[in-house]
Amino acid sequence: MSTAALRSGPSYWWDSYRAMFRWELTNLRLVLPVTVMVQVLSGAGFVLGVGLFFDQIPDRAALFVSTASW
Amino acid sequence: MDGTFRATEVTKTFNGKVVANDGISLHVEPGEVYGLLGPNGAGKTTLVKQVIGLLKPDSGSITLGPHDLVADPDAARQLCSYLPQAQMPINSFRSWEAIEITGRIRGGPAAEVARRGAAIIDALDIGEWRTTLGARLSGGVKRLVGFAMVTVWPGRIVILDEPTNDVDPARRRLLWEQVRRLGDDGVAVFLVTHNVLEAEKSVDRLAVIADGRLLAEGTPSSLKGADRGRLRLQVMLPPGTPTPPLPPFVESHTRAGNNLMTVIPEMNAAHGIGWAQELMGSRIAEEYALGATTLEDVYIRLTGDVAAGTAAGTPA
Repeated sequence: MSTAALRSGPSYWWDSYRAMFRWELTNLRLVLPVTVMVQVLSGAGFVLGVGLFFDQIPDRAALFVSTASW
Repeated sequence: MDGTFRATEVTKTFNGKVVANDGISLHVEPGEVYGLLGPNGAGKTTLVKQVIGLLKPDSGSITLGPHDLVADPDAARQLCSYLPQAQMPINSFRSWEAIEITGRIRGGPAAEVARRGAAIIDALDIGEWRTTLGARLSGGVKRLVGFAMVTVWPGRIVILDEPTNDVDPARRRLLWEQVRRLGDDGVAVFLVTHNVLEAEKSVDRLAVIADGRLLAEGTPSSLKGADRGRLRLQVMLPPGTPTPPLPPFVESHTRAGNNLMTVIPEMNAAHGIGWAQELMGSRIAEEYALGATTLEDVYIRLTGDVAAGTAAGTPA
């Protein structure tokens, strides 16, 4: 049976990083639907909220506030 | 290459006052299953944390073959696999994923990790939970998945802290078989446990520590050597019954709940049975059992363990 040998160097760092990144992503599985929902709702709420606070807003400013594009 | 694990005169204090490890020296050969027994707060986990590089000893050395694990904690983490006493944080992972990703993080090639992961799942008889999320696993199955994560691509030393907690008796046997297999494959296994009776069957050598000091070390048989010529007479008392007066030939006793365990000389076996039958006749005892002393008796004698609800002592 081969057991762990000491590893070092770029390929070790890269492989470890990829494996740990996969671990982190998989770890989000249970909270991912809630996170997406919170993001979507807060985004929609922001867009609608701006409309409540500012009665008149130029189209260009509205586009910027809601999408950050100019 | 010498792959022996050595802890030499390891001392660790917290806040300069609490001595968690006091000059502990021990060694574990490759292929050896070594037990570390001790009561709560004995310093077992502190020692383990120093081995894996999470704590630094105040003095002493910890080496694995040519590697100094204190000076090189990165090597410690690569060379040691550790199953902590707490459950693994795998709620979001399917069982096979947790095992496979851990093997990959530990540096195992994908195909080999997949093959060995499947073999361990079969060996531990947890195949029916292979694709179940960790959040839906029972404590025992989660423990077994944790064991598989640790051993799918083991380091040169595998440290297991209470590996059988929550595991059912049938799968405990499977787990111990896997522990033995690790040893047979040349991995040094460092087993931390309170479960003295299980340890007795599984370890090659063991050490008993208490208050941070190593009290005894040897094979289970050699540690029981001092108890040769003695027997354990166990008396079950009805709930709420005070400990009855003990006859003079009782050398020591421990009370755990309704269980009164006494150690008597072999030559007084007949007197011991007579006393136990007398207790049963007066309805002070419900049943009794006479047998050889176990490692547990040695452990209690060494540590003088007095857990909540128990009392140990030697009659005057």
